Amino acid sequence: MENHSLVQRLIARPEFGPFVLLVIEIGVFWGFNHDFLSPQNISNTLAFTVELGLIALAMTLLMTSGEFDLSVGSLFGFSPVLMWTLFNGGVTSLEMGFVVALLVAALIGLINGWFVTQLKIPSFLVTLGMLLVVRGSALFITDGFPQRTWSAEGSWLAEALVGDFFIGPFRIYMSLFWFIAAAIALGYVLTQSRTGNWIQAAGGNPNAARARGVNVNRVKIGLFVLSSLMASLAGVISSLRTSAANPNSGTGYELEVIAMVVIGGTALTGGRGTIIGTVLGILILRVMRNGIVLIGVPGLAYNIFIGAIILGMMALHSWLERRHQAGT
Amino acid sequence: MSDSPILFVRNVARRFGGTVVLDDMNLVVERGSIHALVGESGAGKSTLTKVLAGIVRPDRGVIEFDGKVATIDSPNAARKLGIGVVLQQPGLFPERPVLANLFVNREPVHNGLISRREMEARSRDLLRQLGLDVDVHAPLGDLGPGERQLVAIARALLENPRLLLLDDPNSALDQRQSERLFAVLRGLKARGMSMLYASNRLGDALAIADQLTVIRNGRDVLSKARQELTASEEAMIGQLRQSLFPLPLRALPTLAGTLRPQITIDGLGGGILSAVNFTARAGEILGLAGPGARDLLALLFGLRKPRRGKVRFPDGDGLPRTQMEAARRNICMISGERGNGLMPNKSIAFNMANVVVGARNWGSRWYSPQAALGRAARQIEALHIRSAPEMPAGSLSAGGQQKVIIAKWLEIGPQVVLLDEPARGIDIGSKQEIYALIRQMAASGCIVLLHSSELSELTGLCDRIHAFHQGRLAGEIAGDEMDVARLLTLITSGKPVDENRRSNRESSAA
Repeated sequence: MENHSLVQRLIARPEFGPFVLLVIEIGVFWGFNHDFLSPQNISNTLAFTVELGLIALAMTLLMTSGEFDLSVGSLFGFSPVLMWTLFNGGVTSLEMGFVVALLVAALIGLINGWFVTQLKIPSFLVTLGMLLVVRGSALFITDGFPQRTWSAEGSWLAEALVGDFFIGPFRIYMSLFWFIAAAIALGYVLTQSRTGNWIQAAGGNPNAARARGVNVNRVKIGLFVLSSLMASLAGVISSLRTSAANPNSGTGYELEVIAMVVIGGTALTGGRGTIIGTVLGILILRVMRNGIVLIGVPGLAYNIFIGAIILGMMALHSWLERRHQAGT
Repeated sequence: MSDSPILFVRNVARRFGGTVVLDDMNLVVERGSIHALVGESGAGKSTLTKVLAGIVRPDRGVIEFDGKVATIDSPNAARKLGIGVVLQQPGLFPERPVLANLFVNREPVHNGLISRREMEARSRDLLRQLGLDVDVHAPLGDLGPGERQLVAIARALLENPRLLLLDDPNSALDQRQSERLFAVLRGLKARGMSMLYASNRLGDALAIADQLTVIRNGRDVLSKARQELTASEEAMIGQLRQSLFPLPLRALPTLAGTLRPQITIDGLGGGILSAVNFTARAGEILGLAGPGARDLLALLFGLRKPRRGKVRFPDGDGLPRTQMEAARRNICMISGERGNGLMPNKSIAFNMANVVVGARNWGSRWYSPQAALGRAARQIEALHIRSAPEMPAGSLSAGGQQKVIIAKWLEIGPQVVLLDEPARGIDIGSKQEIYALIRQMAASGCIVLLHSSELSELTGLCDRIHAFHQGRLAGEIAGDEMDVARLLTLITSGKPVDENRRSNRESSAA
């Protein structure tokens, strides 16, 4: 009996659906092409996965608080461009350039948060505006050209963020550890800390949260800053790893990131969020992108599958929710 | 010092836009006592509670707490003073576990981690006292409304406040839960806690209060100790109750006779109902009691599909298939479920227009702001709604909102009026007015079907009552037989009183 209810509780968890989907997905791709689980393919998939993943983790917290951020994709492109421009122009060292890029990102997050909480403009509009401003800035300061990026070799910043080494046959980047650390830290914050309770209260019922003395505005502004910082960090990591700083990179990432978060079971309306679910959501989408190319589906068809997964998962979540409510 | 009152409220005023909610409010709460704040809804009780809880700031006036002038400018300030609050809308988080709801923003922390064990330990005794036997790890949304209310009360009590503000705390509680709550409150009083108990139910207030203040239109009109309350004063406060049910109006003479419009229901089944037969005639209020009555109303309004059976409405047609069709055929449904059919952010005028413009298929189907304003002004006048057409409907009290819902249906000139708990959760004054309106509708030739779980409402208002038992029509009471006990027996046993006795006797003989 005890066992039975444990299984039931596992199934009732919002992470269960995404988990099953991920297992099925991996099984199907492996069935079609055994190379799918080769060390080289896993290493390749992981390298880029964690970069988007960092943004998705921060977005999970932000969406749990009832807001979201569309400007992350353009920050992903803008921050490395800013860093390299400062460095190539001889203005700062690479490290200082990185710090400046983070500070600018934090400022952008602050502005987003201020508009949303003080002027009470929906985050959709605020961050859509910010998306254009940031993307425009990236294009403007570079004249639209990619930046020179070949001189990072040997800098300690590059080593710390994307230094690579082999564990057995797997080529691992340092960024994977940053991602794992961030996932554990933010998962802990969301579920075990008072801050996490503030976030969930702010998203679930903001007026009630205020009546209990939660500073909803400060929570939301903090999360906007966090989201911008993570997008900026992810952009720099990606740029150092691929030795590229294109002002157009990151286009469309905001929607992919939001898709990852909602597939994982976080409510778009706020109040309920899960880091474990988001990690699963990240893997589902990245495995899908990698897998369909590997089994010979044209890469351009990728979005069809992503869209279908989003629709399917949303239907599943709402079905589970309704069944849960009817059952009690 | 310790004998001086814990709370003084002097000349507190607050207006929202053009509406004066608190005008010149004064209040004194003694230490270790329960002070009832009684008034109709819309009188300013909730606003005063919010002022004291630091959620609303007063425009002027002085609040003294514990002998010192206090500025309560935030919920945290109220908490630091030792003021705990249970608001009318308690502000809970349905998706989160019960435990998390109990400790929002007050979570005990061990080494940076929230300690679930300590939360359980600290809440266990209190939950038992309140008779709240629930899984504290389950989401709050799984609980019933009464249990949720108790969670909100427990949440305030957990902080051990010196002054506890309760705004209509037992509106969602059943009798047993209510008594438990009262027992707990009396126990807390004995331990020295002071309480301000706002309610629009005089009975509750008299049952529990040591002192009593009557609030009307944002002013205190009477403030007395409970035992000093004279019979005439009690009567004055309670006068609303005594004449709760208006006298039946004489039906129009044209409605007499058997040719008047009627609904004939023949063998109707659907939902939990099966094989229901009856006729409802214009000019009478037909009560529906027991489980299944709500399904019947839903069937008649086109919200549910019937399984079998025939229904004939006065216009000669059968059951409406959709709400839209029902509205077009002048069938209206007024439900007491909050937020049902009202757009709280839209103006009163807009809300009153939305049936008449949206559903009718005659006349102009465009929304005309001018017509809407005129219409709203007329209905506000007729139904005594204390507001203006431009104000958002959500700014009204519960009773006012319910009147807006009635008004919007009156605009289509309904022929069949389906009422589902039309007066639930609203203040006595509005209740009375709504009862009078229901009488008027019947007298002017509507077919009125009324369902209520408050049986005295049915016996007080209806001409006949049909009782349902297990989805079947168990019987009808009318005239001299009309009393709550008889009705209750019909609903619970499915048999009239005497038959019930007889069968008891038979079974004991056997």
